[in-house]
Amino acid sequence: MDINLWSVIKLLVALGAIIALLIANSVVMVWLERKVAGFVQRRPGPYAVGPQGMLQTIADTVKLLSKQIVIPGSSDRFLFLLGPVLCMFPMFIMFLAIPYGPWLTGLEINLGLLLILAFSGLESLAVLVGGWGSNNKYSLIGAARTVSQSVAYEIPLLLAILALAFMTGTLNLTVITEAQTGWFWHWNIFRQPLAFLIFIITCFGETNRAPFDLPEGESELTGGYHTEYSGMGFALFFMAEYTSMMLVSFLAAVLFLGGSSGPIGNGVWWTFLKMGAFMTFMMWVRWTFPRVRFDQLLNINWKWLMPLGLLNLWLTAMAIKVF
Amino acid sequence: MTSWPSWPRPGKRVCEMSGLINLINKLSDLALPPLGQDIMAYLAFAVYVALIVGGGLTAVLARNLVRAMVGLVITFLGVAGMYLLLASPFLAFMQLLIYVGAISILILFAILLVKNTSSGEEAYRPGLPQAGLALVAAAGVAAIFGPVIALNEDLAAPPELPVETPLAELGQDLLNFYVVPFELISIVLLVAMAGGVLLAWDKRYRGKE
Amino acid sequence: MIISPLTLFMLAALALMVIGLVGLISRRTLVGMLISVEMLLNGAGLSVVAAAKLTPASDAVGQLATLFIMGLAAAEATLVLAMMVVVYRRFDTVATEALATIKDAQS
Repeated sequence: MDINLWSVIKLLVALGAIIALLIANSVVMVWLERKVAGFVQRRPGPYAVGPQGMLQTIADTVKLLSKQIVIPGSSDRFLFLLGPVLCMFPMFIMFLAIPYGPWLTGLEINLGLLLILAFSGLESLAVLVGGWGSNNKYSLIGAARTVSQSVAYEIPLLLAILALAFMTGTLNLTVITEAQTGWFWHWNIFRQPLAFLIFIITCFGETNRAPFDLPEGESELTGGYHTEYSGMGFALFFMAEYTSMMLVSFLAAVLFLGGSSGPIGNGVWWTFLKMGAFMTFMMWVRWTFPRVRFDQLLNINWKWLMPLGLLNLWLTAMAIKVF
Repeated sequence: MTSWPSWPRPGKRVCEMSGLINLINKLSDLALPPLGQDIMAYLAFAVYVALIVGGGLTAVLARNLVRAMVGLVITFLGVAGMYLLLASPFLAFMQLLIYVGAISILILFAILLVKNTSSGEEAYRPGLPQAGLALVAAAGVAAIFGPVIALNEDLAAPPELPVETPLAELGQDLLNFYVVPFELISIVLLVAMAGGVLLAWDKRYRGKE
Repeated sequence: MIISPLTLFMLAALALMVIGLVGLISRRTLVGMLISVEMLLNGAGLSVVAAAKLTPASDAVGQLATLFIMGLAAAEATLVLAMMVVVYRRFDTVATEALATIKDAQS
């Protein structure tokens, strides 16, 4: 990484574009999720504010931002306010490493995959800090559950991605994407189907999305780690959840679905299209499956996903050695 | 630097795009002068040292253990930045992955399990003998090793900047020459995991043995 | 006094280790001492990598040594915390002064 003016400018422009992308994503995703939920549950979803309810998120955001920020009296002020900020901070860096197009990467780095894995550990820490800072039993239990789930599901994620790195021979996301150009059966989903399956399931576990969203189960824990947060703090946690959803969708699109290559014209739009398809799939799954119990959740991880991940790694290594 | 793709565009846009591409190519040839790179490197070093010292002082002086943990996490971030300055991005990301992503969470869980946050023993400052002993030890170590480092002529300026070691070389070293430590450390981690589970196994709820 | 990058990095590592030492001696719970020990290990790792990269010594060896240090720190933290949980269950305290003079009265 040599520092010349062009890379610095590229970095700053990429940061600005990513901030805009994240804000736009939150706005669109909230509306889309409620519409999909309504469609699955055979009701219209938001339809009052704006055409097809598209301005609903803006109304919600205005409401959230104008709420009074209540800091519980006996909580630790610094940690309470640090939690949401620490949750959002790694996101910007992670989005810099993803190749959106053939030459459109914020930060071209040889260790892109490792960067993303490293910074996703910061998120779990932020949840724990925020949950403890609320000085509330339910927040603490919710935060502990969230963190143990996140940390548990990182391991099969690592194993699946590692098999992919074995096959491609590099950790550079741009090179992995470029190795999938050509016809669509070059995509990694056809070369590593088991890794893709493990990746999908761990995505839901990592981002605390249903059916693995017990930590924020409203019926049991009154909101989990973001119980005490109102207004801006809640908005930041909310945005962090949708941003991590977008991050794993981008990862799925780049690592397994071919990134920016498509039948007609390779370009940025294919990455976004695949990302949108994966995100819609995640929302679809949320409103289809019931919530999993916590011990079942951890059982799935340790007894099924990790052995499958190891098996996949072993098969990949054997295949590389033989062929 | 990069080969720009040739896009099929209608005529007028081609001229505009080529002008933009020329500008970008000119910009990419502009490197910062060596003095500028030096200043940026020293500035980054100062920021990381501030993170390390600030985080470290919070970690050892805070009365609340969770705040001490946050200070420790800030120290880890500072050390990761130092590794980046030394052209070891692999180590920097592994530092974040292992220390911040795993060990910090482990220690926080242990703090919560022991319920030892702000009303335990740590709420009171250590007495004068203990604090005095700590300061004497610290001063002694600094007085012995500080001059050894600062006045050592062998540590003159290196001829060139550090270069990033390719990851393949690290991997080959691990598998060819250092394969025994590599295997041993996996055994150590396995034993630590098994030992941890065995030690903390709560016999009351399980009713085993 | 010679101000070179290697000196600066070594002084930063020394500062880390000194702060860790202060913490190790002045903390009075096991967790506090563990936090200081982690800082000591970080300081050691930083000095090893600085020495490897900025001298004619081999780059890869320094980085591998620090990787092993990180792995060992993780294993050690796991075991220390497991022991701490056991000690807390048994004696209901993790303060080192109380633990240093354990009377096995409630066995």
